[in-house]
Amino acid sequence: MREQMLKSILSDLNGASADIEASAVISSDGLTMAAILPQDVDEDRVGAMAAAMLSLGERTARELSRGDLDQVMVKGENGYILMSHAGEDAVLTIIARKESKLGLIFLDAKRAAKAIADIL
Amino acid sequence: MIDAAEELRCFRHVGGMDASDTDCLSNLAELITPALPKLTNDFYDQLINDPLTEPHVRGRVEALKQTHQGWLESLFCGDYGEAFMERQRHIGRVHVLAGIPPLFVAASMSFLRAQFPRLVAEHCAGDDRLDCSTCLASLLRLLDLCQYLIDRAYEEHRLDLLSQATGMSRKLIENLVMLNKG
Repeated sequence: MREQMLKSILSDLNGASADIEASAVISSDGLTMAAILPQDVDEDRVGAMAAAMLSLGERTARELSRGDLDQVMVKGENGYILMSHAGEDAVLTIIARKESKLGLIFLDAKRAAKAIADIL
Repeated sequence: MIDAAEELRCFRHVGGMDASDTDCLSNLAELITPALPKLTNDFYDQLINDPLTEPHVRGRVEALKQTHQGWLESLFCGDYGEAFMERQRHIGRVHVLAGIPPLFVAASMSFLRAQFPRLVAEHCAGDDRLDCSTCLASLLRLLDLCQYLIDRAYEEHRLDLLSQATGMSRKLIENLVMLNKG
């Protein structure tokens, strides 16, 4: 039931912008709770790595006195990966195209993260 | 992830440890205990004469010898249940806190594995109750078990350090490690 609700949020998120290619909700231990990812993507790997990136980002932000972590962004040649908290125990991961309007992606991410946190 | 108790059960089963090992070691106790002080002294001579190990024992050799001899005697106590296991784990934790590298534990066990065949042969020959090679096998199995339990402390410590440095939970680290398995 909760998985369906989470998938519904992800489906709305992916549909909200042509720039968002995929998304997933991951537990803080790196296990996938819900995902809408391309078929050739390994859900388990994405989950663990996204959780790891967020943990490391959080630790780094604190170590360098940047305050509480807002999000982690990876910029690659072919696009972006955004990771942010969705409540205390979950991570929202968004995969976006390189042409993305980041401001809009951040806004969509924030709304989705809040909706996910409310469910969890 | 396999839990520690199940790992231990598997270790004992595959290694062939059973009640006969306990009997062997108990019977060996009386014969071999007189030889243990010299074994400890020989071992510490090795440590004192190596530039890597000497700094770790400097100024505390006599106290460490007493502890080492106590541990050697415990190998023949005849009771290898949970209390014995926990003592080995505790030894591992103490080694970690004292900053003793895992190499030293491995080298120490290697020293004992080289010395015990001669000692067992010398001290149980002529005693009709004991089969020397069986007793030696029991002793070597027990050393392997002790090393396994002590080594786990080093692994746990490294994982704890990684967790503290990165902010990743231990569970997340285990999940990351599992990614490359199959």
